[in-house]
Amino acid sequence: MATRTAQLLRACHDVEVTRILLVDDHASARRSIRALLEAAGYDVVGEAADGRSAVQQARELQPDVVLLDVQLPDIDGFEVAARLAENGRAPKVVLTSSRGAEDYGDLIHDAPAQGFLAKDELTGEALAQLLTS
Amino acid sequence: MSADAARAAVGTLVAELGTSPPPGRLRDALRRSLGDPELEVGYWLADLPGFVDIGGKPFDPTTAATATYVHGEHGRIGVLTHRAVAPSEAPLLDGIVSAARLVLENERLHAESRARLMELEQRRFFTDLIVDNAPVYFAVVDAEGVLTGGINDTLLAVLGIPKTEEIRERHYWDVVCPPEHEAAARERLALVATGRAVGVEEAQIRSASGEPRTVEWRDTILPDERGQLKWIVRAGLDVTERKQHEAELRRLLDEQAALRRVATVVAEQASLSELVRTVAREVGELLGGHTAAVVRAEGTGIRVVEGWTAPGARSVLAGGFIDLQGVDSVTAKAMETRAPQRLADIEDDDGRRLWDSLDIHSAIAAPIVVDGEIWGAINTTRNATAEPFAPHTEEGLAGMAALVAQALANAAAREELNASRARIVQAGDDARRKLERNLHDGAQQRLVSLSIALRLADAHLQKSPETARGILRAASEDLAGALAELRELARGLHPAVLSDRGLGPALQVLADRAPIPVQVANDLEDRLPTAVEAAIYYVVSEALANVAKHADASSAEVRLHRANGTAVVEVIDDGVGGAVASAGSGLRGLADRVEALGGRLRVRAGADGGTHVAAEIPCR
Repeated sequence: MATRTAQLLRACHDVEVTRILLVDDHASARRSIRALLEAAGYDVVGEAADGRSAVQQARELQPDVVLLDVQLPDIDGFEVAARLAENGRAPKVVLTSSRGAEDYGDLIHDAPAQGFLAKDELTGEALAQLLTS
Repeated sequence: MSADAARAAVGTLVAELGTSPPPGRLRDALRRSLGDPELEVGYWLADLPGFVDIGGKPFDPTTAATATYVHGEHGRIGVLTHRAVAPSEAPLLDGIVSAARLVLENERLHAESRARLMELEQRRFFTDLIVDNAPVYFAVVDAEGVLTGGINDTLLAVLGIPKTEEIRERHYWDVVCPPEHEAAARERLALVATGRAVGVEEAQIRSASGEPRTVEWRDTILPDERGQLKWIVRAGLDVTERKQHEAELRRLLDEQAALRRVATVVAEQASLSELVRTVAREVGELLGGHTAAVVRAEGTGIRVVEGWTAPGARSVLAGGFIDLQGVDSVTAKAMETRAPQRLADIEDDDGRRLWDSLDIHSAIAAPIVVDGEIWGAINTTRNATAEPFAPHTEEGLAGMAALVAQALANAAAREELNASRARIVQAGDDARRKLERNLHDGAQQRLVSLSIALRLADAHLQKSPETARGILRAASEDLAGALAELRELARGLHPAVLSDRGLGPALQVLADRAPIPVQVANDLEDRLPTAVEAAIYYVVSEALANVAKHADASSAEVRLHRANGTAVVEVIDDGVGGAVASAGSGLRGLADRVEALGGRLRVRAGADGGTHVAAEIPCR
């Protein structure tokens, strides 16, 4: 799976390995997702547990992708995505949630993001497909 | 007796009587002629009741031994009562009757005139009696209005004039009328004298008490023998009380109508501002005020909630605050005494200045008491252009104040009901939000992690079976945690033991889980309605949670029993006390739940310290 993901990534991007900032307020979720993404060949360069530190870390770490949980304790994922989009070199944003996309309606479509992946559908392959679509 | 002797006796009689003897002489002469000292003479008066004696008094001939009736040309004229007469004396008796006939006729006329005179005197006596004692006033004046015929005793008594005082040369209006009504009386009598006044005159007369009385006068003209006016007879009916009753009735009807209008506004659950506007207007119009206001007690004074002003009067400023500290105010007094008050004059300088500044001359007020607390008052005032409010007028305000109080109490009850509904809805929303949050943060996160872990294990299965096994073991532990969380959550939604086993076992579970010893005394024999059981369960659950969190108690007791169709639960602890139902949202929410079932929740200090929470919920 990792090979296939890497192939897909190489086909679409100049970078060798995609650098990811992981944003989720649940530590167990961050742990699981980091393990899953690293196993798939991604480089998880940082983690954030709330919206403000996510914006801060994105500025400092300059990741390629921010995997962004929608529900956060301070400002929600849509707002974080909007703030990230204000930067000159904005990372790609993939929204995620343990809820389904239908819970958010047009908010996902209208957000400055690459797309949405429910956590129970999250795999390295699914993420790669979304990033290349 | 021989015929000669009889003729001689009759001849003597005729000679003795002559033609016109003095009255009564006949009887004496007849007694001597017949030799009967008991003989009596009765005179027949046809249109009077039977026989009379010479003095005109009634005479009964049937009681004598013998009655000999005497007839004239036109029938019976008299009767002689005497001793029994022997047959031999019959010629004598016949002769005596014949001889006496003419004199008897004369004396009969005399007796009749006496009898008629007596009758007239009697009639006059009765007339005087009636005129002087009838509850009617009589005054008899001549064409000049002079009381030549006098006035009756009833009127004298009312006027306070002694019977001995001579009034027959004084004018009617000088004696009878209050000074301001003299001219009107003079004019009326002049019209009556010239035949131009008809019907009834309503006028006031003086009275010994000083309070004028109202009289309806009817006038009758008595002419003299030439047809000229001799007297005017005034007959007066005192209608003072009737007028007062009529006025009182009118006032009561007006008051009832005003109360009905206000009650309608109350029943329609109109806004408070509309209600007080209606009340102020009705009070002002009903009681003839120049201003009327509904005021709210505020600190040391009052604030005008709504005011009404009569056309042309100086207006009351709605919303204005009036400080009544140290002021002799009727409104303050009404609120202080909780009774209607009236003030026709004011003595202290501050009060006088306040009254002058508000153009008040007299004022009345009634307090508005809601649930035992003074809310404010209704007042109405008059300015100097009107008489001060009559005594007792303020009592009419009390009914209005009661209606306002009722409406305010209703509004407060409605407000509390709405607030309670809102709190129940809010509590439901909060519970759902909390549940969603708990599910999301707890079980859902664990399941998401599990889902990821399974995919991860799948990814490692070929290359690194050991890593995959470790991931699966951790996942299994996560699953156990997720199940435990779901069980806890389900228990929080509704305790299964309550549905399955009933209140006693459910409360025992709560007691067992409490961090301090809790004794449960359950006297219930049957199950209660589901909603009541749930309410009691949550009351005990919340109360025990509060005991654990705040009471610093060493033990607690739960008592449950049923009395007169009401379930009663009590939670008593031996802690520091100080809990109140309104402070914590937990207890407030429980109070709403209990009140929604028609019950009530009370939280008070326990008899031996600590806190006593009691809920009573009807079970029907």
